[in-house]
This record gives sequence, structure tokens and C-alpha cells, in this order.
Amino acid sequence: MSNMIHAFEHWMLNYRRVWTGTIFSGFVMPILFMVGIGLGVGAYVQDTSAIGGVSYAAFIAPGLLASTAMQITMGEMTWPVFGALRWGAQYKAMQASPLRPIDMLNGHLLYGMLRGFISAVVFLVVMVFFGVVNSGWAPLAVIPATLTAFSLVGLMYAYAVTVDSEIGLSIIQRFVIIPITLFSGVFFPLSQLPQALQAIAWISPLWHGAELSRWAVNGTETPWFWGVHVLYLIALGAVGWWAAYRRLTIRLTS
Amino acid sequence: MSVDPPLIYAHNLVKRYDDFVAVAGIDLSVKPGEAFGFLGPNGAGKSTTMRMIGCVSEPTDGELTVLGLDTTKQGAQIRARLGVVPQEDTLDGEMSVFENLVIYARYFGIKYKVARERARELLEFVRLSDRADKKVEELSGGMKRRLTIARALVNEPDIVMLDEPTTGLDPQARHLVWERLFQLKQQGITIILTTHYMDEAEQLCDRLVIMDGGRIASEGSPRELIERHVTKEVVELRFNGRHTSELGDIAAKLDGISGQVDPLPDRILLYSDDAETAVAEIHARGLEPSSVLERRATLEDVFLRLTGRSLIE
Repeated sequence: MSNMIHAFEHWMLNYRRVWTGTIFSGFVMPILFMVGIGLGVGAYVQDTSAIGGVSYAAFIAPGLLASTAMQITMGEMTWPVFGALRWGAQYKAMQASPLRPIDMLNGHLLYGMLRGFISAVVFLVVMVFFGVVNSGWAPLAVIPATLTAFSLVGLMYAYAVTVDSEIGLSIIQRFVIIPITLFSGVFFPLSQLPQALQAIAWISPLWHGAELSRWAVNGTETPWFWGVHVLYLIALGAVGWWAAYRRLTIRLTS
Repeated sequence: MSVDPPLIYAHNLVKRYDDFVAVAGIDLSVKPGEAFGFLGPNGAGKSTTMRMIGCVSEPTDGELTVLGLDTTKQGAQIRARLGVVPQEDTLDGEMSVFENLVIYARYFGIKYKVARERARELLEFVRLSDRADKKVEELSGGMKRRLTIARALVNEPDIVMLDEPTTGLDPQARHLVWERLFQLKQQGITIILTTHYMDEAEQLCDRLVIMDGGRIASEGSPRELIERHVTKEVVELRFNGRHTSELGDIAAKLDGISGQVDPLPDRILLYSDDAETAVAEIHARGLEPSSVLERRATLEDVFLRLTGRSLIE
């Protein structure tokens, strides 16, 4: 446990230098989304029956909250992890200390999760300013947002330690993160999709996270029992952790 | 009187990667306070052996204990008491010199207050105090190496392991590193180092093994190795641009003057305990080398005799 914290401190020390910048961009991104899509696109949405009777901005905000946490965490698990194992050599340095691969892994994942969590909190603050938070339960949306980040953190990490070139990392951005963001019921309800595509979207952790988040913020009933959504996110996260642990151990001890 | 148990003990140690045998069954025993060296060319198995001692890579076969602990089962415990200077710098370029030391100390669970004190002392020791707040990226190669050495000392290790500590450094930077290592040695810290520089091995090592092709070719103090494998002195003969086969013919004419005769591509080495007499005899036989160099035998000669190749190729 304490070893994991020691590895975590490395990334925190680096973060200390850049945190003001990340908080700033953490505000800017949600504001752009809320203005551009929430208000801009929202102006064309007249019929709100399919989105629970709330404004379009209020509909997308909770989903964006979960999606932002997920993206920030995944971003931390791409180049930074790839680099720590290769050119940055931070892992090689850690390997000469009492830290074991499992400590390096957990320390880094914890840092990625913290970044996602912070961005979720920032997003929530932005939502207050846009007047889309009307319930005292809304702050709870940070939990499914962080769980959404958790569901993919290990898988992303496993991928980053496995790929041989940086091109592999860009591919994830284009072919995984963007489709997930677009087809997980963040910008429109899943019911708008053909039945077959809806079934595919159920796999997406962001759909589960967005639904839970919307439940907290807007009080919209979750499509499935909430525990199932939570369980899915945790289970996927656990599988990802195991994959990451296996890949890193192989990578570091070969 | 009790004998100190070895700090590092290896028996029939093997490391294999698929079909490639990097270390082919070596025996080692390093005593506390010793400066022990692995001398050999690139690919001899030195770094692989170091990685196994450093509990980063698991042996394929054989026995290996460090500080009396099993490297495969008690790796983290062993690493807590080692100071490692890897061949390639593993400093965090984004952090300052001072931060690199403090955060590394944290890996060992050293409290921040103690870590900062030690960082200041160690920067003094490696003469980098005035660079404490500089980013690592801004340091020269020699400074980075010194910082890496300082970092390896932050946990007050029982054993300091250095993999090619001066490779790639200019002569001045090398001497500064040697000076610091010599000081550590005087403090009684056990030092393990690999090198392909015979002068480095001669300067720093109490005892060393010569490695080649994953095996130990010979073991002893620098002096012992020289006495065992070569003569006290060496005469280097050059014959104005003539080489290889021609030198072989000339070498045949030198037969019987003293000990061994080794024709190399560009020169002939004549091993002798009395270089002066040998040179007189060469001239008496009517041979006229374009240059004659009489010198003390070195570990380079030992390596050459043992493997038929020179250290730096």
C-alpha cells in the first residue's frame, strides 16, 4: 500500500508543476462544450420528450461530465505511460528501488484516476454556472464519472505498455475514444439508434456512466437497475487492472 | 576468527533468452567492502549479470544470493539496500536536480525531511550543489552521471552497483567520477562495477573477473591476473605499415626470444620479463622494426591473451 503511494508521489510531483494549467483547461473545455453544443445545438432541439423534458444542455451535461473524466484519465494512460516505460525511463529508475511492478502500476493508475476525478469536479462547477444543476444529489454524479474512468483505466494502461509505437496511441484516440463518446447516449438518447446498435452501445462503459450521472443530476430513471450499471463499470475496471498487471510484469521482467 | 559471509554469492548462474545464452554458468563471491569488477567487451554478459544481482532480471538457472537473501524471492528487500547506477541515465528530465534525488528517496520510503537533508549532502558530494534547481535536461553528460551516482547513495546502500560508470564521458568527467568512487571505497562501501576500460578496472577494482561470451575467463586482482596470464613487460613492434600475414611471418622469426609472441593486425606484441634484453635480441636477429615500445603489461594484454581479441573493438 505505502509502496503504491510512493510511486504515486512521483506523478504528483510532476503534476504540481502543471496543475494550474490543467485546471484552467479543465474549465475551458467544459465551457466550450456547454456553449457550443449545449446552447448552440440545443437551440434547435424543440421536442424534449425523448430527453426527459429537460433542456438539451441539461441533458448532455451529465454525460459530458462522465465523458470528460474518462477522457482525461485515458489521456494520462497513453503517452505518459508509454514514455515512462521507454524514453522517460521513470519505470527503469523505480525498478532499481524496492518498488515492484504492481506498485508502479497502482501508483500510476491512482494518479490517472485522480486526474479524472478532479476534472469531473471542475465540470460540475461549470455546470452550476450554466444553471443545469437543479438537484442536491447532483454532486454524486462525480462518482459514476470516476467509475467510468476506472472502467477503462487498466485497459488503456495495458494497451500503452504493449504497443510498440506511438502510432498505436493515436489510433486509440481516433477509433476508440471518439466513437465511445459519440455513441454512448451522451449527445442523444440511445433510443434514437437502431436496436442492433443499441445493443453494441451497452458494451460502452460511458453509456452506463452517463446514465448514472444523469440519474444523479436530472433524476432521470436509469434504464437498468443502477446496481447493474455500477457492477458493469467495476467489473470492466477489474478485468482491465488484471490485463495491465500481466502486461507490465511481462514487460518489466523479460 | 570468523570469516565474513559473502555479500554476493553466485553458483552456476545462468541467464538464457530463448536460444541466446547471455550468462553461461558463472560462480562469484564478493566480500564486504570489496571493489569488485566485471571486465569484458560489449555482449560479454556483464550487464545481464548486474541485472540479476540487482533483482531486476530473474536467473534462468543456478543460485544467487545478495546480502544473504534470495534474489528471486526477496528482490524488494535486497533492492532496498542497493544503490544502482545504470548504464543509461534514468533521471526524470522534467524534474529538477534536487527533486530527482528527493523523489527517488521516496521510492525507498525515506521521509521527506531526511530525503531533503541527504539530497543536499549528496549534491555537495558530487559537486552539483549550485545546480540543485536546474532541470536535469540542462545538465551535461558528466553531471548527469554524477547525479545518478548521488541518487544511488540516497538510501545509504550496502552495495553500490555501477554499470559502465564512465562510458561516454570526457577524460575530465571520468576522473571526477573515479575520484568520487574512490572516496566511497575508502568509506568501506562495497562496489560492484562493470567496465570495458582496463584502466578503470585497474584503478578501482580490488578484484575482478574477466568475462567473455557469458563465461568467466579468469578471476583475481589486477596484479594477479597480469602475473598469471602475461609477463611483466610487453614490447610492441610495428613494421612500417606492414600488417596481418606479413606480420605473421615476422613473428615467426621472433620465436624463442622470450615468452609469447602475438601478431596483431597492425603490430606484434612480445611478452617478456625483461623487455630491454628482448629488444637487443630483436636487433641482433637483424629485424628492423619502425617503432619499438617497451611498456608494463596491462589488463588489456591479459584480455587479449585470454580471448584472442581486444576489449574495445
